Amino acid sequence: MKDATARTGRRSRRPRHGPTAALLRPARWLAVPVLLAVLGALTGPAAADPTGPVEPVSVRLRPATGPVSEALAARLRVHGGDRIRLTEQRADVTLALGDAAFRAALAAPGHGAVLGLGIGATRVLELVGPGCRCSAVRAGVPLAAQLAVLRELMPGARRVGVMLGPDSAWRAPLAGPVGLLLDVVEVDPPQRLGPLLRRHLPDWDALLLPEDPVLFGPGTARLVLLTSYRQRVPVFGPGADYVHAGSVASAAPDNDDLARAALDWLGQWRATGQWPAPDFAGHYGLEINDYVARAYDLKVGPGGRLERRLEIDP
Amino acid sequence: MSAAPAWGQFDDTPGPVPRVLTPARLDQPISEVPASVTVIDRELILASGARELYEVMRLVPGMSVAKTDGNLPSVAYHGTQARDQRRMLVLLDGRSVYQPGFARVNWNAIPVALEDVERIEVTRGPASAAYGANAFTGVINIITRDPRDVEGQQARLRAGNNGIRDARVAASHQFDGGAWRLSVNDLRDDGYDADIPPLDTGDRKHVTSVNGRAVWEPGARDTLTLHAGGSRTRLDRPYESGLQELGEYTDESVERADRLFVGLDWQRQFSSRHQLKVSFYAQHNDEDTNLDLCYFDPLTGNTGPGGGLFYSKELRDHFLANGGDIGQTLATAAADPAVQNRYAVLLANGGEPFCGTAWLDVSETRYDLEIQDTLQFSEWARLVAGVNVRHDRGESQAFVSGTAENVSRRLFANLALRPLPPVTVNLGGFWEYDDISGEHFSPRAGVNWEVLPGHTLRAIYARALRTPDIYEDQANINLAIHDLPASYADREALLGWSPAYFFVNQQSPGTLKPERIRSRELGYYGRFTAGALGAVELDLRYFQEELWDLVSGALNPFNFEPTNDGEVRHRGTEAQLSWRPAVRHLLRLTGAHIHTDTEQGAEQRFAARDSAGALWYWRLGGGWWWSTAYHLARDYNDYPFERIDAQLGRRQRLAGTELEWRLLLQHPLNDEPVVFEENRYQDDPRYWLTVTVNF
Repeated sequence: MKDATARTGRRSRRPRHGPTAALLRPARWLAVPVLLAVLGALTGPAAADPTGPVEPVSVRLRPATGPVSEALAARLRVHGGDRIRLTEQRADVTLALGDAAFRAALAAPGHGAVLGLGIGATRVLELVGPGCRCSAVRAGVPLAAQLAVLRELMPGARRVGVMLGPDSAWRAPLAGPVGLLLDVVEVDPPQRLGPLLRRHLPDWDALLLPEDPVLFGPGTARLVLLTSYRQRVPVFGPGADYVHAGSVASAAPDNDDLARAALDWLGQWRATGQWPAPDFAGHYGLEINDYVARAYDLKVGPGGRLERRLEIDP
Repeated sequence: MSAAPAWGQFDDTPGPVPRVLTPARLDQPISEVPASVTVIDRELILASGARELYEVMRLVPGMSVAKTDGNLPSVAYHGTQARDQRRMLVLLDGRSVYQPGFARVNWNAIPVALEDVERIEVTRGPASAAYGANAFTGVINIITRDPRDVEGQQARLRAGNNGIRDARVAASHQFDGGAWRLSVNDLRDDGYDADIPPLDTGDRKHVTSVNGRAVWEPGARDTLTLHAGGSRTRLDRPYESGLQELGEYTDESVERADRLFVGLDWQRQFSSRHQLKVSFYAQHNDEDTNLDLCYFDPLTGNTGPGGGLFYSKELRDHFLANGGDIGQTLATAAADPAVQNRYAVLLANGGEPFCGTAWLDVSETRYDLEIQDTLQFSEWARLVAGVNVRHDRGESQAFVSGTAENVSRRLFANLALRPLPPVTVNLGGFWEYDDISGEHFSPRAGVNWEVLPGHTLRAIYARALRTPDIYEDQANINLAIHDLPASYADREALLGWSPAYFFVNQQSPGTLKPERIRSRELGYYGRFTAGALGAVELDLRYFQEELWDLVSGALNPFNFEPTNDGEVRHRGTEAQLSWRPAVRHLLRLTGAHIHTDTEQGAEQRFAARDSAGALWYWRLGGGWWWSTAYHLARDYNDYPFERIDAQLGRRQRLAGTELEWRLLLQHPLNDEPVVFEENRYQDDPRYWLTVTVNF
């Protein structure tokens, strides 16, 4: 897997196992760990207590090969320990990475339990329903986590635009914290993105993007990022790729986070026989493009203030 | 491996998201810039209620802004002389609108409407190290809207008292790989009131301008930008007091000016850390002002053929023999036998009054080519360097008796270093050589230290210069008379020469040196949230500026003092605060306290010791907004300027279009004239209604 922040920015991790400061990349301000801690507090299922099954859950990965699968397999081995066994034969659960693998796994005759990882909002709605022996860790991050990042780096932002499409990870209506006006603009069809950006950007202090493979993919990055930069409107989200391309920052799960999320889901499935409902990964790091943040004069502020502010955030 | 996944890589997608905002493409943030900077964005422009471009400069602390000379606005950072626009550089999309022949910025003629402006960046302090000569007290960089950011068409009408009648139409179009926009703007008003003494003529203004810009991206790494536009101005000009003593005007004086420009930029991203920009522009400016008079007979004091003496060769000779002293010349002319003979010849010509037209004509052309390279060496070093060649040509029969040219060659480099993350060191220099002023170098050094996140201290030392313009260097004033009655057709016989010139002649010695400034500055820039009080942006500046070798004397046909004797010292503080206490409110406060020391009274006319401004912008909801502004300058030429503005507006969707209207009221808070006694309005309040349709 490529390093999405190579030479452009940094990725910081919150400590999860006590003072595991080694997990943190050097942060310039003390607030980064605090933000990361809060990001953790904002998330969904907590890491499962490793009081699970004595017998390991056998899991197969789909696709079985490739750099993404291999990287995730490595993290699953590290974090799963003896709770999980990766296999190609007689697996209890199929872990499907991405929409295509998830759809294929569910289409296979006699498929067993299936857990999708990084599944888009539209596919989740389409494929995960009653009777399906499946669940999904959704692609993207929740609004609250992105807002936490935005408010940390840009506390002066008052009017924040959010552009949503039919495939976005978030659905309107969206509510922001007190003191922040979320101006939600629905982009449908996606070809309206340019005109709507041109019309609304002048009214916003910042633009917050949800995960959306159609609206905010590789084909629209130049449009979104250059249009915003020319009008000096910082972009936050939707993920690591966009931060590499030029968005200021984003909360984003890495392979460790996905591995942990998968273990959380598997733990509950093993314990109850039921899959938890589809949700975001629940563990995130912070991606910052230092160059872009600097160009906008955005800094990570003092930790105490950040902590107080985020305590009252939703 | 802990890198975050891009969700798309789980599936078959078109590929990774391309890197768009690269280090070389990004600008230096304000907190690291070696200067105090004021940024006026579209929100502030709207909130200010400004109708003309120059008016938004009131939002800049330390900026002197007024219509000082009828309908001619003056804008000067740390103002000195009221009528001169020589000491500050104004750029429009990087193109200098500082006019080369007669060093000035004509704010009326800048071909851009406020709706075309994306933002205005004002560098407060000398910036010759980055922009070269004439970035003397500061730089105003007007950045127009990129056509790729403009959507749809626009029509706007405005009407108000004081003869305000403005109109605008604008169009834009996006196409594959590019976009263009074009606007036509028409602006009219009656200026100050004509029938209030001592102003005996009007100062109506009519400006029509065109501004266009097209951008094309032939590839991911190349951007081509075409700029083009122009303006046509018709300004009623006040009568020349010197001429009024010699004759009576038979028609209003009108300044007619036509300006055109075209520019092409090519920008290439060689890599994420290396960017090249090549810019070329050409601009041409033609203007003239008619002086239609019947001249007084020096003996009778009434119009008559004896008025021809003022354009006779003999009076010119007598003027030169008296060392260019107009008073002495007129007092002793009657005793000069040659003048007596000429007078007799004129009287014998039939008695028709001597009436004609003289033209104050100016034609200026500039070609400018610049290559600028931006290289981000490493995380901590960035270099912007380049080369520039410029050719200026000025032509004026009235002012230089022909054509004069100047070619300048320039090299510049600015290095930004971050030896430690909180510290930025900026070192820059601008070397130039031009035909008039020779070789010069302008350095600047600055240190910015971010003592806490969001709080930066800076210390800056800068030197800059203003080179003499073509007129200052090569003035040769010869005012020819035209359109005389038929009985004066044989000028050689009747006036002693042909063409016949006004007797006053002024010539520049050609020895003027560049004006110079040295500035020391301590500053603070903060951008932070103050708890429940909301977001704050604060800039403080303490400065000491020494200006010397100033050309302080007048340089007009009646008063011509081409010396470098002027000296000025400025010392003071400025503050600029933007505060967003809540989602819908913006409060902006500015203030300046400046001590100006000089022995030349003219250098103090536009230097307000205390100036302040306040602006409150409130988005009421439902598309409604309210803004109110207060402006104070104490004093301009002993007259305080104090005014309050209020504006109510609404933007709403209507049948597929967007309708916006706003009503603005300006109310002076005193009865004083603006800078000079003649600048008065009949009615105190001015108001206008603006209706805009976007579709």
